[in-house]
Amino acid sequence: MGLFAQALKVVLQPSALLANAFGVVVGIIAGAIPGINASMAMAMILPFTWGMDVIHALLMLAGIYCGGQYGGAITAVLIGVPGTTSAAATVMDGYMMHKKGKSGKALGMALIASTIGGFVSAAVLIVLAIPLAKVALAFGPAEYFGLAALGLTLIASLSGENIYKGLLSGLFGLLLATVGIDPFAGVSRFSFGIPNLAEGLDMIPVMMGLYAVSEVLEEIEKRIPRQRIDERASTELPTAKEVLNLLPLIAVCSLIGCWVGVMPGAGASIACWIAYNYAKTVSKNGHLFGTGVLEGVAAPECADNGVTGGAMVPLLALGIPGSNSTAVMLGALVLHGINPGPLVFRDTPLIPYSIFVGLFVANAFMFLFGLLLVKPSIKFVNAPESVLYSGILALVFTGAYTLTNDPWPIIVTLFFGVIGYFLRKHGFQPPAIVLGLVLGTIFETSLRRSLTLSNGSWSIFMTRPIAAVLSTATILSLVFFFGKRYLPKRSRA
Amino acid sequence: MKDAPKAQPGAVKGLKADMIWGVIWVALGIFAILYSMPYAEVPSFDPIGAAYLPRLLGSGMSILGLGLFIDSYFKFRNLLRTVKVESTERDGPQSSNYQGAVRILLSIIACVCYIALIEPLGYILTTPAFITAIMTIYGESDKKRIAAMAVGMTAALYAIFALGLKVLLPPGIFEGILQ
Repeated sequence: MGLFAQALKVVLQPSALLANAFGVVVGIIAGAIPGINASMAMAMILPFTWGMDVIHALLMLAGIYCGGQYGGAITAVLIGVPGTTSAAATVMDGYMMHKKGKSGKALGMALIASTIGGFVSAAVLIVLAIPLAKVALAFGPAEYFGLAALGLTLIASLSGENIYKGLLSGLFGLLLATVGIDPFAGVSRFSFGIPNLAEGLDMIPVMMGLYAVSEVLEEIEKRIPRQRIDERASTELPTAKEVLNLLPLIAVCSLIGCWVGVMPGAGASIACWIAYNYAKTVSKNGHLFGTGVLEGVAAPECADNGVTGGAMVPLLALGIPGSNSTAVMLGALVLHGINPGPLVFRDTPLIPYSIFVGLFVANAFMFLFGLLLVKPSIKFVNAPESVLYSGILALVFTGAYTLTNDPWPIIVTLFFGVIGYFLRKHGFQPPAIVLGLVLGTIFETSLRRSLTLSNGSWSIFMTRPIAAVLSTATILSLVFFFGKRYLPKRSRA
Repeated sequence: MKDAPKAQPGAVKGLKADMIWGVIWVALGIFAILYSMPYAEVPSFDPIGAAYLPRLLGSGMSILGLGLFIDSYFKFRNLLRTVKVESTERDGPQSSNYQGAVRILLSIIACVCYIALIEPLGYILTTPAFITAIMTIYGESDKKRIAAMAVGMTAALYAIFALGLKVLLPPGIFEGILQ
């Protein structure tokens, strides 16, 4: 308990509370604005954390993550447009409740369910991450290579409709990770004579470009005016009886969110739809789903926030991000000179333990600000698009400039913003590129260390039990996803 | 074919684009393989050397790019056979979002100008100009709103980064005044 007590002391410091609370506020507002999600907001805020203490920075990002997952429900309920893709399932009943004049109660139920989901996920994170990190301390490079390969394959395969596009995005990310000085041979790869490229690609401008700038460019191209929201909306908490009746469902759906969150690439959207369909199946009001029932709001919302802690399990225990948002958190760790992975638990245990405690605090803040911030969030959603997008670009470019105090990171941000815009437009997956870039270093160094240990024999990936399981799972998942794409056609023929 | 169902809007265009993307990925993969050839000559501490992964990734990209091309080609052929495709759709976009493309191009030009001018002119001058440009490109016509946003956002960002986080933002022509 010593570490938890120390972490509690750190997290309850006024500056840490302020960082956490600020993150939650930014997250709720960003999540409420359609087109902006938690990972985009986290990428935009990342440069602000440059001069901050690493724990404060991570608490702020964790706050954005939690707040962003809930914020999506606000517009899902009030205008039937999910603020984040994961809030799409909430539209089904949340918007119907709004049409029936019960928007306040739908928002209240979404808030309660999100908060409980967030608390459950924080507990699951503690339960899973600590033992997993202990196991992972025994991992060698072969296991890390297997983990990186499996994680990337799952993310690339699950994140889009076309497996070719997903895998190509992931491979492109891995190729970007090879830019710069090779640590084994000392040769500069793909630097094209540009000194800045010899140092490798900094993942933060790449993330800001792919997540934020590409999205803004897409919005500038489409120029679709957003539906304005009635500013009189407010949150009305459900009664204790209503909450107690739904508590077993909320508990199960929160665990569904955690379970999906742990799996790389599955994402909050999948968790929310699984939870929604589960609730529809087990509820005695199943036939009323889609007409505006509280269960239809509670189930996806608790799964949505249940994902947060689950997604942090592989990040903290293994140093492998399982989602876009945790990839940004990994970027923050690297920015502050911390090597993510199980060694963090041994060398700087206060960091993961502060995140454990900080997640509980973030969810408490989320409940508080969820009650208070509906009206300000609506003001942001109703802000003119020109103001919003020009502001985001100015913020992102200023943040990029401050990374090295020269225009190079802005050039990288713009370059990847434009690339991301074209890729996104044609169904490629910028998140898979980011994860390829983030995992690239682990992928290559683990591969090369493994082959050094085995004197160049690839059998090392099949003779070590855990590595063999991970390698086999990678191959099987590829076979499965390609089979899924082509087998039904053969059977029809 | 008279009673054949119509193709979904954009389906033909999307498949054509996928075929082009397939070729782009194959080209990028081949480029990665060829460009990384010299790295194989450099001695390395490990058995596979610096060229191995770029070649592996280049090969993977080429194979998957080819797969994307073939997959899209057969879908495209199937679509032309089984559904009715409007002639405008088959011939490519006639007007599709020309204005949107112009906005994107102008936005990118505004970003490039911002990058080029931020150091010589300074943050205080270029940022409001950049915000004004983006808002105008988006179609904002309210001059008061543009002015308020350009000045307000620049002041807020300057206060946060330069005064709050003590980060040096380029002073440009104000060097010596803004320290």
